[in-house]
Amino acid sequence: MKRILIIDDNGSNLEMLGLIFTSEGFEVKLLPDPQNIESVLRSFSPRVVLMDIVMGRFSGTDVCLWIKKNPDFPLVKVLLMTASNAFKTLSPSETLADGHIDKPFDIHEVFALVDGLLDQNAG
Amino acid sequence: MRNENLTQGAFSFVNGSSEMASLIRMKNWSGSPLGALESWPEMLKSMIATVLASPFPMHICWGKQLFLFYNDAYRPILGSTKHPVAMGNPIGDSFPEVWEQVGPLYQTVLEGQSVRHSDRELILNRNGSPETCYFDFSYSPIIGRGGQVLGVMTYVVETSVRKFAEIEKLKLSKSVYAINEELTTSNEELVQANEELMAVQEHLKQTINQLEESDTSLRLAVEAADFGIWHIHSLSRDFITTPRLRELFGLGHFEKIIIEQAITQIREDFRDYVSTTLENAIYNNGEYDVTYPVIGLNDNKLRWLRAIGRLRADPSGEFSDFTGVVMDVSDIKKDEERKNDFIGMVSHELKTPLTSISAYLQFLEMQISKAGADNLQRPVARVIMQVRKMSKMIEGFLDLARFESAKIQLNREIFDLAGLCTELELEFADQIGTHIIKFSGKESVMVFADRDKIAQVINNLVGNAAKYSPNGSTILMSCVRKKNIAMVSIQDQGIGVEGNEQVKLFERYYRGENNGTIAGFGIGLYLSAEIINRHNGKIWVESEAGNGSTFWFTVPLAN
Repeated sequence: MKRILIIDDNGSNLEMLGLIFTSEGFEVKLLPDPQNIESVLRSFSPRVVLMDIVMGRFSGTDVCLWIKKNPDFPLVKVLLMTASNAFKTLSPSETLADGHIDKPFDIHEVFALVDGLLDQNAG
Repeated sequence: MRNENLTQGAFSFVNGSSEMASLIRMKNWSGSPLGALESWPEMLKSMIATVLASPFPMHICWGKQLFLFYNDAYRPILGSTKHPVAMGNPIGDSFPEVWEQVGPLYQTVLEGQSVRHSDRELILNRNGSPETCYFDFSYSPIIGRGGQVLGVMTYVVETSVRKFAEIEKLKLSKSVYAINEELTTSNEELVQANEELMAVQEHLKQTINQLEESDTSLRLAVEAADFGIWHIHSLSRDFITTPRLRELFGLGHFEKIIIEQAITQIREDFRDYVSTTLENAIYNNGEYDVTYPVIGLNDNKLRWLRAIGRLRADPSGEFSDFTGVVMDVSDIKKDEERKNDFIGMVSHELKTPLTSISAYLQFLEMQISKAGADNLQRPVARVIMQVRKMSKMIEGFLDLARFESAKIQLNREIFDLAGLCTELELEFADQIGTHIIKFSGKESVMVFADRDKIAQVINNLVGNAAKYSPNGSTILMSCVRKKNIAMVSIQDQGIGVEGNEQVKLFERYYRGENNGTIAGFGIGLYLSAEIINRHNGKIWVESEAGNGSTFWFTVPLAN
């Protein structure tokens, strides 16, 4: 089963992402903030984390760096998304993310990106 | 001696010790027309004795032939050539040079009359050359017992010295008069010149007054506007500033500042841009109207300053003065930043629901396709397209806001501009199905610029070209090197741009007048111009309404 963890503080977007990934056959876990991410990563063990950057008092980029530097989760792929222009100045080498997605996005492009990461994981 | 011994009595009239007595005594007269001395008439002898005895210059001329006898006092008048030959000879023989003038006078006296002349001018040749002389003289007849005229008695004083002095005096007074006249004339001229000078002075005074007035109003205007003023000498680079300018750069009123120091106070992300623009303005007469943030030297305060300068060449042509004003635009800038923050925030807030809308629509499209509800496919595709357009507009606003608040810096690198064009040509072939887009460059053109931003400019220009030209037409891209710049052109076969719109086109929010049906906010060209300006490049359009447009831009080559 393809497991994906989606974190976004905007309820409508979170629900929408849950719907489309579920319909694509993913096992989906939705979180409105990254507060309990560590336990979810351990219990749910997602292959991919799709996460917003600006989430109230939480910063997606900080969480991403935490995951990427944590030796417990070496295989977890992280995709960052934002409606701001952060990616005009942030490069993946700085966030250590496996991909950047600008909102609004084309869902086909997002599927392609996630599939690509899953293939890497499989390989 | 002989005569003395022989005729003692006969010689008594020349017994005196005078030089002339001796001369007469010594001379042998026997062969002369007068005959031997002892035979001379008593009257003659008596007259000679009288003359010789006189201390006053005198002579007598005896007989019709006017034989001359003179005394020692007269002797100097004869000069060096006439004496002693003249003694006892007819006077006419001794004074041939003046005989024409004085001969008739003697004649008159021989006829019984006297002659008296004062300061009579005669040109004598008595020292080897003609000489102007003046004499006071009287000629009077020597009358015999019978009343007959026996000769002429002459009293004469030479007055040459006095006369010459008089002449000199006259000449002098004449020349004094002339000088005086000249002086008078000069004085008149001087008076006139003085009057003119006074008029000029009056005029000058008025001019100075006007100048002072205009200076005062300028100073008042500058003070009222709170402008700082500076002045740069193109050769010495002397930087003259007003206290207000130093204050704007965070210095005390009396602290010194040099141009390099002022540039150092400019915030780093703007420093190169301002410095380059400044140098270009001073040495290439480039335009200088820049707005930049400055961190105060002492107060560490951030101020946004706008500086406008004008170059003025010295009449000598050897150097130029670069003068300008600086004003504090922090408040304006803060307002602008607030506005840009607002635009940025609004755009972000709009994009969030748009993300949901767009994703749901795509999901819907997929479900419709699966369900085979063909009649719904077209409307959903339309909605998706409209949402995409909306996203692009919002993206444009965000770009603008970001650019204006200068949060984005140029990330310059060396890259092949022609290579970028080739890359974009392929992308356009994918994205823009409505037009034929061709890139004609083959040679690489290495530039030093922000690759992404330049790509954004080309994207925008090609996007515009597609927007404003008929479907199926061709859009040509070129990239060439010219001297030290790279030039890129994008040529379309579209509706073209009227001459008066060609400059306005690059202004913010400006849209062409005849494109009411075409979407957009007039941000793209403004942003493109901003990006190219930040690169110290130029952007412009060549176009004729109805005949298509060619947009050009330049960026510096890598070197």
